Amino acid sequence: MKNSKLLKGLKGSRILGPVTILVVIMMFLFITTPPFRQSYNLTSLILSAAVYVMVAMGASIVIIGGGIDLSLGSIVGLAGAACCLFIRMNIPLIPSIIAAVLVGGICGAVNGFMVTVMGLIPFIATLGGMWIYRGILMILTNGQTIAVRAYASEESLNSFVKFGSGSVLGIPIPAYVFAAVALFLSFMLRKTVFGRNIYFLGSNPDAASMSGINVTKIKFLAYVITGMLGGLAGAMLAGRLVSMPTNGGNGYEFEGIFASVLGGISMAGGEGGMLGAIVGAIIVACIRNGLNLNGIDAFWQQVILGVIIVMAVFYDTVRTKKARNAKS
Amino acid sequence: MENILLEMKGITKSFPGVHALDNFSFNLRSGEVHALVGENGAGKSTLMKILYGVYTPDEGEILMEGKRVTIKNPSEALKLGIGEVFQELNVCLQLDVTNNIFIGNLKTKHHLVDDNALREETRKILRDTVGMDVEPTALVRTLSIAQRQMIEIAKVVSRGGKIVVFDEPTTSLTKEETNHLINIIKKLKKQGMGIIYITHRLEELTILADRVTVMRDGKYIRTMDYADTTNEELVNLMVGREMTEKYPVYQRKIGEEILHVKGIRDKGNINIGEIVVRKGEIVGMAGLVGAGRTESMRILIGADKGEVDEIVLFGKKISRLQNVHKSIESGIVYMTEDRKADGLALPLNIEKNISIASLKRFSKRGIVNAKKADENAWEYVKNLKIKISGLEQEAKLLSGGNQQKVILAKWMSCNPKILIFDEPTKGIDVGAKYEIYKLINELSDAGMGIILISSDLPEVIGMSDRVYVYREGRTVAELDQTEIEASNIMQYATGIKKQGKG
Repeated sequence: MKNSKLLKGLKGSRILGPVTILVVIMMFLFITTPPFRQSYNLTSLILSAAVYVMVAMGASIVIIGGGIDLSLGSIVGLAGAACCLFIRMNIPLIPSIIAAVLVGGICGAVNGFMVTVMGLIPFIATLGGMWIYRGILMILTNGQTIAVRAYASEESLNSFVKFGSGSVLGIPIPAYVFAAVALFLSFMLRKTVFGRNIYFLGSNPDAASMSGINVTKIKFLAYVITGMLGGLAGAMLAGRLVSMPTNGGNGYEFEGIFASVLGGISMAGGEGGMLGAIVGAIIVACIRNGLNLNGIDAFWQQVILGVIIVMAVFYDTVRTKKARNAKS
Repeated sequence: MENILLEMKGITKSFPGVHALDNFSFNLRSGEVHALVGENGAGKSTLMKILYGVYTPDEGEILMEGKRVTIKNPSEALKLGIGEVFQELNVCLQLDVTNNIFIGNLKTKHHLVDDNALREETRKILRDTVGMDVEPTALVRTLSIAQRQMIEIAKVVSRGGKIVVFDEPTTSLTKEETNHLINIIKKLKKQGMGIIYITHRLEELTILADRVTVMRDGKYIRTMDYADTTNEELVNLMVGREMTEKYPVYQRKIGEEILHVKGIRDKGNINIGEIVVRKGEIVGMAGLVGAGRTESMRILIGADKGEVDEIVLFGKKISRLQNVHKSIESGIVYMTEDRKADGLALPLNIEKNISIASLKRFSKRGIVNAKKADENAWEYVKNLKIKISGLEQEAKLLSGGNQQKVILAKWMSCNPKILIFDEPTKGIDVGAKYEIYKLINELSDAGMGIILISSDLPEVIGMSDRVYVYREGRTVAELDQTEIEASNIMQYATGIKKQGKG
């Protein structure tokens, strides 16, 4: 009895598909691509996945809430650059990371302001944000990559490098960070009233507002949280590169959206969860990793990823249509 | 005197260009069902939105149990104990029943959502308030419209309000479900709640209403004890003139058979039999909600997948209509049930809405001749007496009746031979209904064949020359003029009676 219930639950859940895709891709790479099996590759896979996961979780929170954030990539870049600047000033690691998260949060608040108070369509508002934040990054850095190595003290530099790519007990530190954040967010979405309200908002904003939910507040906070996650992703990326180029994080908004869709988070809002975003992000990281290892040219990588995202959205569309028709 | 629960005094509200409410007053006692009636556009919904804090009145005051209150948003209305079941359902389709019941009202244990407790409570609420038994974890999109509505009602009732507003709650309910709802409302009334009941179906008032207030054009007309009035009087007060005939008397000239469809099937439960339409004939399609009328017509016109066995149009066998475009070309047009969802392009203007299906007629080598399209649109605006300020007016600004006429104009522009109407008067006020009926009659006079899908029984009876009755995707009866009668149709539709067809 219990078993069949579990099976039914898994069948109905949106996570089974993405997990299957991930397993298939990993097995495929494991068999066909010898370097994939190397432990150094696994580490680098985890390092890049950690940043993607952070971005994907950010992207998916606004998507679940019925919005979209196209400025995430720019937030990653700006917050990452800010983090580098703080480290260069020999501000300790933790305050620097917190500052990066705050920078992201402020960008998110600006997005939230545009979407709620000014009433702009999220797509356009965050498209504007994408330019604004990237522009500020350019001004701040004078168009130059912000390097940390030659500027920061030995101590600051070491802690930064350790945060970006160090390991504890053989597991990269970024993996701990993303695991902790993922657990927290997942808990927030599933168990708190605020988290549940994000689903209500995404599923039917009218129903939410008619039921006495402060839709403006929830929407605003969703963008702030997304911005903060972008900020954290920026700090992690900066730690890994030990610098921040002006185009850092460029296009990450799409990686995030891409990962969300692959992870079964409906673009229509109100559906999906953090686990999906994580699985989706790891799929993206694996595909990128596999393409790199097989020496696929960067231009072709774009084409291949583009095709995959179209397929994923197509799958999402078909699935939604099916669900809609499956009325009793 | 009885206990006055709510008083709305001198409420005035205008929108740009419209005076929606003009010095309107209204009161509600506890333990009564107070019906609010009036034509569409009379201001009922605006008044209820003011009560619920969606709109702020320009003037006037609201008193709850004698105390003056200001209601700035729905959250404050809920706190005061005001709940509303809206005409357009406010459910979250992607979420489960439990979350839909507790939306905006999630109970927590140690600040966390306690799903198990909520599910238990959902089961109890559904059983106690609406007598429904569905899994609390079922996704709402898998439920029927009626079930969704029950969930809405359970949600509102479970908040333990003092006032519950029902805005056209029975539009998509079957007879049985309506009776069930009426029992629920009676129970709430006994518990001392005040019920405001808005409806177009006056016959429902007979068993429900204690008092009734009539409004017209945003103005207060009269409040009466229901026992002291009749539905005829109410209709007259609503429209402000004598309404002697609900259906125009008409002598129809029925000619030869123009459409003959052998059968329509799909992979689901649609498997309906022969449909015959003659020239100038109005063929009614009756049945309960979900009997397969809309579904089969959508398959016929190629909008949905399914099989159609042999279509004979004007004596010629034609192949299956692959899509709506083909269907329009062969002269069969279908007016959808939901004006707003798939009938109109709401943000576009009236001319565009009228020309949308027949642009080919007004264009040469793909370039639209705007003058011709305008002329055509004007012609229909005049002929159908559509009340508009100009062709540039947006379709969404029109009343339901005028919107329906715009859709009719759209299809008339395609020179159809067969017109399928799906619930053509749903949510339209009495006066506009009469006009639509007259137009349908004129179309039949012009030799068109008409299929009329309607859940409004008097409408089917008043308009049709012949009626097909459907039940669970099958044709269960074909009734000729002499057999068209309410009890007869209902007995077939509910499966009490079966026609012995050879």
